[in-house]
Amino acid sequence: MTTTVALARAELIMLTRNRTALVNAVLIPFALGVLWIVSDSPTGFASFGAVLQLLVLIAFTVLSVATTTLVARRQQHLLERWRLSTAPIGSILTGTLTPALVLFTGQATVLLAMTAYATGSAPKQPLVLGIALVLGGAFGCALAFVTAAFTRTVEAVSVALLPASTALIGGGIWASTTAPGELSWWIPATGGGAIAQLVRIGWDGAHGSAGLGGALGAALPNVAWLLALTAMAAAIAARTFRWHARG
Amino acid sequence: MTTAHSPALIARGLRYDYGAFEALRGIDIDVHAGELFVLLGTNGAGKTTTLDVLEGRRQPGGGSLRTLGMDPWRQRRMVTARVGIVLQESALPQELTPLEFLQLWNRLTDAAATHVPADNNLARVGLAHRRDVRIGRLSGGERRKLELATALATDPELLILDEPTSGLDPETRADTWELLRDLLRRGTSILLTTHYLEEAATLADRLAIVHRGRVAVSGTLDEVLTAHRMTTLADVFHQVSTTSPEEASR
Repeated sequence: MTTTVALARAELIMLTRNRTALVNAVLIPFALGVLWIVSDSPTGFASFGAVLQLLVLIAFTVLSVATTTLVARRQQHLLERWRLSTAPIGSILTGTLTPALVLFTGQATVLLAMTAYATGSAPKQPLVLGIALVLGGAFGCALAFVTAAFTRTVEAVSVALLPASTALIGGGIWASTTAPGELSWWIPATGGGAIAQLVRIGWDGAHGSAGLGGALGAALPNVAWLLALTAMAAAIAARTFRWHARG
Repeated sequence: MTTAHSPALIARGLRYDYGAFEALRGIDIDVHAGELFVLLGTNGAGKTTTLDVLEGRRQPGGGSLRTLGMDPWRQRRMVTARVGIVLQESALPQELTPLEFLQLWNRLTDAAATHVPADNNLARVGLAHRRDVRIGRLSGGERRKLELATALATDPELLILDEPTSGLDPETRADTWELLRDLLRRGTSILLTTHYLEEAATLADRLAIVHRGRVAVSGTLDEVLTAHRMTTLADVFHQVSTTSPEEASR
């Protein structure tokens, strides 16, 4: 068993032993999905619904859970403990954040399936939707590292997350409510805008193009933005992230 | 493995700053192979920061350092594979059991190391009967024992223990002393900090008192008492730790 898998397994055990967190993690996406089904939403609303749901999941399940986990593990001196082992730093961080990513993947699958059922539509370009999920999850983790670097206590996490959550969800709503031809170049720079565009292309297909090639072409600038933002966040985190609780 | 005459650890002129605060102002320490060296000092004297630097967890701002012949900052993973460490603060996952935690720890440490099976390790520190209880439900003393078991998991050549007996009842403390003596007989080198002066007087082959980021006194207990013309370690400790900042900075 690799060190990453061993740590991820331990983190998942710890999560499953916290009943409140586990029940919320499982029930909330189902509750949202049921709400979606009974709310009799208009058919053309599917991609907007998918955008909102994914951005909420990235903000709350990836960004919030990952930031809280990192800050809590540092406060509990567990990050220091793991660094006393011979496990590589990448394994420690990946293993620690695996539960957030597992939850995100499971919740997103449930919510998107229920959205498809509720609206009687299916994603036209599932590959682009998959890219949105992967890059959105990676961006959420990178933002979590940066936020954790500047957050000393678990109590301060919710306030510290406000700028990143606002950029994610606000940027996504902005991009979703703007006509495709009228999008400013900097809306995707919020991160949320780029994710929203990818989800919209994944669900509805590219504007004026039916094929995968057209969809990938339309997705490319948003992919580039997300990769650049993730790399920038990772670079900042690499310089500023603290392992010690004590200064 | 270090030989009988080679030093397990040599530090010269170690410096470390927390911003404007100089925590270490030129620490000199030698720990010989197979000896137990005790670091004493008041709260905030620089003991824990010294250990952090010796373990490679903080980069020294100056001075030179070899831990088991290696640079602990640049060769951190090689050093930690051969050094057992007890941190001052409890660093244990509350939701796991001691058995689960030690099994995890064995997986996280170097595959080439000699791992003590988790069950045997728990028995060695007297925690076998609590192996399946969540760590969050253990007493403070039991958690301290588990920290010690973690440090012993890879059968290390050097142990660096930050207040390992803090919070233990007298009987458990005596058991821990016996465990440390047994490790010394098997050739393990030990550096520990403590606030219990009788522990230092009982266990130490050599000791040092750190005051305001410098080693103010070091040597065997007899050498320290003779140099200060005093009869107890408590008297020496009191004299050293009440030295004014001006005198200490000279």
